[in-house]
Amino acid sequence: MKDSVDIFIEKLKKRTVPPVLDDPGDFADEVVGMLHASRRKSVISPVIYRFAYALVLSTVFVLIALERNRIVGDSNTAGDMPHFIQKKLSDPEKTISNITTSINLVEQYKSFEQ
Amino acid sequence: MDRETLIEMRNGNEESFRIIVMETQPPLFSFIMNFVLDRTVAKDLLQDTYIRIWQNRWRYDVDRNFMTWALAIAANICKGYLRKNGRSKVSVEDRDVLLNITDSDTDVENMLTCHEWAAAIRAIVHDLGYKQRLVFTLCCLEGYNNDEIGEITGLSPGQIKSNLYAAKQTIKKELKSIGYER
Repeated sequence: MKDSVDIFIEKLKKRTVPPVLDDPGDFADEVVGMLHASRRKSVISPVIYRFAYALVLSTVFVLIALERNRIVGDSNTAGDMPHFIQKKLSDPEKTISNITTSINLVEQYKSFEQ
Repeated sequence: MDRETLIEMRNGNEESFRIIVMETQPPLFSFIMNFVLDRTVAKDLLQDTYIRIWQNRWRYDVDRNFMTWALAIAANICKGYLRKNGRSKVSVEDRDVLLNITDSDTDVENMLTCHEWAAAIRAIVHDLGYKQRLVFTLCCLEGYNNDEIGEITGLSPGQIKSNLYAAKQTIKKELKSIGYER
């Protein structure tokens, strides 16, 4: 059964006068006049956009590749060694004493096991 | 609209396109106008619709109904407009109309005049989501059947039915909230 809202909607459909353009002829001329502008725009713009997009994308890829290459290449040199390793290497006496202590500890452990 | 004119338009004949603009602008303008509720915006969107029709004319299948194809383009243009400008809220004047309606009469049949009805329902429809608003406009304001709406919107019959139902429920709820429906 239809309620009041359904009745409203039906009446709305029946009674509403469809909106129309004031000057359909002028509007049609205007639209046809705009076709030339839209044609130029539709031909030139996508080409420029695609070119610019491709350029930006390839630049980004090249930069990423260069950056990766720099990191991999430089990591073979001592300059890129982690800071704590450099620190250890700069104090060889301490490093040797640490190694000696470690060896002693291992020896002690072995003797304890036996 | 005869097939020859459509084929010529498809092949790039501007005079045929002009004839098509003259013949198809009333239903297209009515749909866009009912959708956006702003005459200036509707005229701009109608122009955009025709430009897009012209740019995509080679995609048009002459065996297909031109109006549903054009309306599908118009619906997409309207969707883009809503996305760009956000869902516009009903103006203060429209809200006033809604509230004034409730004060007038108690008889449902005499309560609203034709224009007040239109203002009341449209103000609520204007706040609906895109799909509900689209389906409601095409079905209840423009009078298209389910097959045509399916062709225009790409929605299945079930989706059309559920969106229309949801739209009507929202309208009922809104009318009830302002104390109109009993």
